[in-house]
Amino acid sequence: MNLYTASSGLGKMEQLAVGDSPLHRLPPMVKLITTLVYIVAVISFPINNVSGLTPYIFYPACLMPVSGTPAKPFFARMLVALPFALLGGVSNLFILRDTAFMLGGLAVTDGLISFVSIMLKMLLTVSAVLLLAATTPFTHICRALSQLRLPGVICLQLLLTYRYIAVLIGEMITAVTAYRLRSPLRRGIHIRHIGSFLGVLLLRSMERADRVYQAMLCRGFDGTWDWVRGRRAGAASLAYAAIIIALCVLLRFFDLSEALGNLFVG
Amino acid sequence: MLQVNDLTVKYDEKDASPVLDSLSFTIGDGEKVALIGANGAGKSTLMLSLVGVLTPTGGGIVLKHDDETAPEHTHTNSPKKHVHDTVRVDRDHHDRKTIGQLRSHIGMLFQNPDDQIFMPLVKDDIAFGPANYKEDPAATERRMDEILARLGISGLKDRLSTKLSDGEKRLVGLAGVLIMNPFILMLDEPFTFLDRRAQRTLAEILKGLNHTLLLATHDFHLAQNICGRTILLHKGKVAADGPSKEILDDEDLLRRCGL
Repeated sequence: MNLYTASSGLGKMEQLAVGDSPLHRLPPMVKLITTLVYIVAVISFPINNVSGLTPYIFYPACLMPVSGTPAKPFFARMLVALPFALLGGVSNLFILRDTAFMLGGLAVTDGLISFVSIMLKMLLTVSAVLLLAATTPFTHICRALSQLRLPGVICLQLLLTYRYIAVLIGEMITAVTAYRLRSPLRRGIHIRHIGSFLGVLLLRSMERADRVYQAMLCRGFDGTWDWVRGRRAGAASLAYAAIIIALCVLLRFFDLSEALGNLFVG
Repeated sequence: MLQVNDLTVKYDEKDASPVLDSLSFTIGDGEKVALIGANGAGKSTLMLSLVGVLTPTGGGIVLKHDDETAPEHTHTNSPKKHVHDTVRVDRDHHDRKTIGQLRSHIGMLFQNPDDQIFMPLVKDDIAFGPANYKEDPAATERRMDEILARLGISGLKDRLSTKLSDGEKRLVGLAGVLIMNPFILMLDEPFTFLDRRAQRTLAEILKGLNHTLLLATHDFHLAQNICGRTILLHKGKVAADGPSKEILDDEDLLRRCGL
């Protein structure tokens, strides 16, 4: 992924977040809590329990079409987390070599099960976070975090950091383009220039941050911000939250895959 | 009325030559003044000093507003409780309360709108200032709609700030300042990054505002079109102060001041 696609990718997620769908219209607090409950439920599964995790696919499978989230950019963003999950999962293939069971003459090891479990957990948790980001503007997520009593200064730092990822990418694009135009025969930035390049980027970012802070001061900012605003959850939102939380808890203690398997196979 | 009395600003106390050197001038209520000067003459520094971002090394600023017809400020917790305030800012009077009062009276539009707009959504960014003064969200929303309509950008309210053109960003930045209902509006090179059409649109909007205006610009034609008076800065000092036509037509004076 180059800087241009990173920049446009960020913009695409923001564009999705200001869309209009039943999921977009839910209060951010409701979406944040259900996402957190879902993630906690998924990661609380033991590493060797794949069948228990599988029914949790209901969450992205149902909410993606409801929210109108397009599959291509959604899965493209998921690929970012893939190397980390692969790194954790692949090592288990070599460490946990005991055979768990035989499948058509092939030995399925504990390592393979844990690998599949890690990949599935990555798929489910990252898709939950992406769904939240694709249906809720980041300002509203920060506001919901503040309502959950996260200190205002941390919420503000989160918001500013997020906002200025785009600005930093913009500064980098300008600097990289200027470098490339003056060194057309090189591919990338020469190792000799990396230090000064990063130094200049840091100075430019600091100057930019200073100007942004001055602009905020001019509009009455004094280091604190009144975050606690937002819509109250209506009956429909509460019903949504109750259903999602109930399903997450139910599936955590009741293995639906195993029950269905027993029902059909015996 | 804004009085600047012997204002001196140094970035470092040890500097031999100040960035602003004993500046004095007065701007009356409703007056539109252009601030011109070569790069490094001190235009941006003067503006940052007038909003209390930079502390004066010497001299100071007095801000008075006695207009009986001016609307009462709507911020419930604003330091600007009424329109007859007198705010004095100098080296010894640069505390948080005084600066808060000053900033509620003077709005500033920065040169680069990306420095000013930092909320992802346009409506959230415009509401940032009133939220800092704990204004009622419903009142903010009403005023936001009025201001957006006045600037002709009602359609941008729910848009992403990162997806706006430079001209749109400039107007959104202006809306974020106007919603603070300032007595004095300061604009630091507002025509930069804009094409001719967007420049004309912005110039028309600025001409139509009733605010006291201080406009730093390199565009002499627009300066003359909008402002009846011009202050020319040179090396941190006032080199000339008078009718715009007189100063901007004086080529010798402009050349001497590096323009």
